[in-house]
Amino acid sequence: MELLIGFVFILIIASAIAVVVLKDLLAAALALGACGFLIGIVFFLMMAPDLAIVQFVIETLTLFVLVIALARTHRRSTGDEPVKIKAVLGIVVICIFLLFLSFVVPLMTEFGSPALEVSRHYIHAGIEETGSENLITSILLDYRAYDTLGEIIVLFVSVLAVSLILKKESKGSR
Amino acid sequence: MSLIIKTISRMLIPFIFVYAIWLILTGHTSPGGAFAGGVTASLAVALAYASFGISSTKERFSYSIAHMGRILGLLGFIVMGVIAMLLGKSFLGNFLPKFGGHFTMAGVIIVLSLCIGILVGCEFSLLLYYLFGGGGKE
Repeated sequence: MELLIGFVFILIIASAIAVVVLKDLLAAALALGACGFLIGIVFFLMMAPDLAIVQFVIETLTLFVLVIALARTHRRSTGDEPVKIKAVLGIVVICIFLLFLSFVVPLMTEFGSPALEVSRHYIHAGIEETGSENLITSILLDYRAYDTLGEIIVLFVSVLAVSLILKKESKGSR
Repeated sequence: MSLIIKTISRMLIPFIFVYAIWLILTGHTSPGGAFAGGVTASLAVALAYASFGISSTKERFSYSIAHMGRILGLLGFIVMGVIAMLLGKSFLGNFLPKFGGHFTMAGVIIVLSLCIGILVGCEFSLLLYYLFGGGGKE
């Protein structure tokens, strides 16, 4: 299983590089979609089907928006930035990130063992206390329902802002 | 779009809606949940937009219905919380009895997930309308 996940991770890195390298913007958008779907497959292999479903669905919507936007604008990327400066900057950033990882990864807890004590209580008493068989739903809508309220308010206000920016004036007003 | 795509999407859209409703209503027993169900419903709207065009999509699912849906979702969530407070529990507490059937086993959770599903579906549909539908004109 770990070999399979590692193989999928290599595919993710390859498709992410393809997004940057490709000049055709439609192909770059498709590579971005492949990257997201492969991340969904990783979630599925790590036995997180809720996350996998959300990742697939959101990725489909994002790909749809990107493709429609490309159909209405240019298909090829224009503008030639200096490539060498970008490459050097990229290598420097990757080196800093690897150095950071080498310090941080040994400090992480083992995969599957929660760092917080309270999560053990949720796992053992979640079904009796909330009645929900799916632990994620019982945390989202019962233990942490206040956070969910905040999230949906953020979504509400962001769509409100989008509607204010993109709304066209009616003919009589100006 | 071509006749093939129109026919296939006319057949597919009801099934996508049914799948979205299934995801929302069974989020407490199986993988899925309200957010994924809402986005799936908005994907059905996106498919209708891509195959039939924006104007005939707006005839079936207009701006005003979408706005009403998102406001009703948010208000429903808050009202359920306030009812729980009035009944002596904490805000958004689980005040409904848990009977043990498929839909009544989790009390208030299924109502909350229905509110979130309606809200998320309407939000993402409105986002698509505003991005590609040319503003808020009916």
